[in-house]
Amino acid sequence: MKGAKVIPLRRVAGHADEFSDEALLAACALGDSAAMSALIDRFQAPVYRFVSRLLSSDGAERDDVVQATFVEVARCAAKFRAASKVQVWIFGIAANIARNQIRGAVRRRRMETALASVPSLHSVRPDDEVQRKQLLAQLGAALSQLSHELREAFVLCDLEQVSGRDAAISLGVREGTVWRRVHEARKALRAALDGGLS
Amino acid sequence: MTKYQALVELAHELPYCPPHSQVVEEMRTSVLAMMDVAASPAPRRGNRWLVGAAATAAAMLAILVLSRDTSTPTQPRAHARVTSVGAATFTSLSPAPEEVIRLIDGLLTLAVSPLGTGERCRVIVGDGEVEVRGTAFAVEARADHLVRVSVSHGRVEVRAQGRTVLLGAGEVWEAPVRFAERLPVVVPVMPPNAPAIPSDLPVRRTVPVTRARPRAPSPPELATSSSSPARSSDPAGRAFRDGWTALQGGDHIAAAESFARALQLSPTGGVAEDAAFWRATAYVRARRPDAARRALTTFLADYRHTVRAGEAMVMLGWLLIDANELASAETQFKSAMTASIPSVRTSAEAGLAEIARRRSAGSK
Repeated sequence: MKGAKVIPLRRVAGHADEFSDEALLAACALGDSAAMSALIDRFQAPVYRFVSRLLSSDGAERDDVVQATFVEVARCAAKFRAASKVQVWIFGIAANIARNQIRGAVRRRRMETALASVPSLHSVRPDDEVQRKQLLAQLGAALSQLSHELREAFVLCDLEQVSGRDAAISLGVREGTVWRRVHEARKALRAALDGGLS
Repeated sequence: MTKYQALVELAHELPYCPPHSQVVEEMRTSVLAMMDVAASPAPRRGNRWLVGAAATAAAMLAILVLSRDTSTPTQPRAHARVTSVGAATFTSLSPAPEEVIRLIDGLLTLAVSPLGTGERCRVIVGDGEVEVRGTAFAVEARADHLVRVSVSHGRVEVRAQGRTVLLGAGEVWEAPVRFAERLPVVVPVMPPNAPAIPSDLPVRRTVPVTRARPRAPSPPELATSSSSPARSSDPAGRAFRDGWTALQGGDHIAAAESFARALQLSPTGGVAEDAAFWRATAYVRARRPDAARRALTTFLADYRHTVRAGEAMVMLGWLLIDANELASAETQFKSAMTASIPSVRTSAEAGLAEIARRRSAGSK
């Protein structure tokens, strides 16, 4: 009885919406490219957003990481064990790939350039809108300056609203470690904003 | 509002530029292409001694593994061996110990090894489910409705239409005749080992890349799939299989001819729709636009309402653009906009945009 596999032999007429994330991933594991395509449709927007925030970039670098993420999803679909939601699992893959990307020297240089161009809060005009924009710029730069571990924890838990438990599973660390990183990230970001938060 | 909340709220406003749809489509195409490369068989040429050495090493490893103590915990093993009889739409929703197979359309046979404590194996259809306990049975669905369950040996519990029926060996459960009669006939749509996409379409822009790409079932799984073209002994089935072999080998003209022969031998048979579609695709790949246009037109005339119609329309649309027949191309793309597959609609949008661009350029 061992070795039995379920093989989708025919494309479903109609929308892929009727399949759960897990079902699509199971079909991907069997090499079903239609399922992979549906999975891309379903998750490309959150993955692009997640990677944009991790890398502080909307450019080619982000696109490369997203593509590598989905290639990895296709390759590792069979290894998914439903320990967390599919989206969180994909985020975990994206975070790992982004981590390698960030290690590049080019990336570091780009971050330094970005930091150099960030306006100082001391030049804030008494205009709320302008002040908020400057705060955002400063926050973006401060986020870039965080270590990858702190940044991925902050983006996952605070921005993508992933639970600490799921984040821990997808990052392969303990839940307590995730919360410690989130706390440190928040602290560092708050300090970087230098009292700009009301 | 605490400072943490203010921080998170501010962080949510961090600028984010969503990717252009073209970027997403390019990414999708690359990912699916890599899936194809990963799935394609290894090249036959190579160092035979290396293969031999690898086989020897694998055999030694197997011996080592088998000789070890097997009492260590392992992943739960699948209990159900699933075989489709002809074309079927189904997928695995959950692995052991709670195996769930979602069947939408077609006929499956299952052989389930005895389940342990806490283990379950179910086949779920839209309006019913079948739970098994160490048995062999067949389950059939049409359009997501449970139609028939027959048990070879063991016992099966069928829950459908608000009732639960326990079937023993040799017993059959069938849906009421009235319902079964009005269901559409299951037509085998996707042949085994189908190529993922017509990758060298004249669509150099956005390609409809979501064609289902079923993997070739391994021989044991096809053992009872008598109606599958891959194992068919009839001449049309053989011609169809020849077409696949040629298509996969890159001989597109030979593939088109084999598909045409399959179609000629069995114009209304189970492989007819597949043969008609892939004949057209083979001509597109062979860069024979005239033959491709004829084949696509014929396919759309015969199978206007199939799930592949959108892809055929888009392929035809781009061929018509290349021939500068913009009005006809526009008709095809507009029809394709109703397709259920997102990437087909995206390709149709790109086609309509291209037509608008050409018209604009022509009017200047």
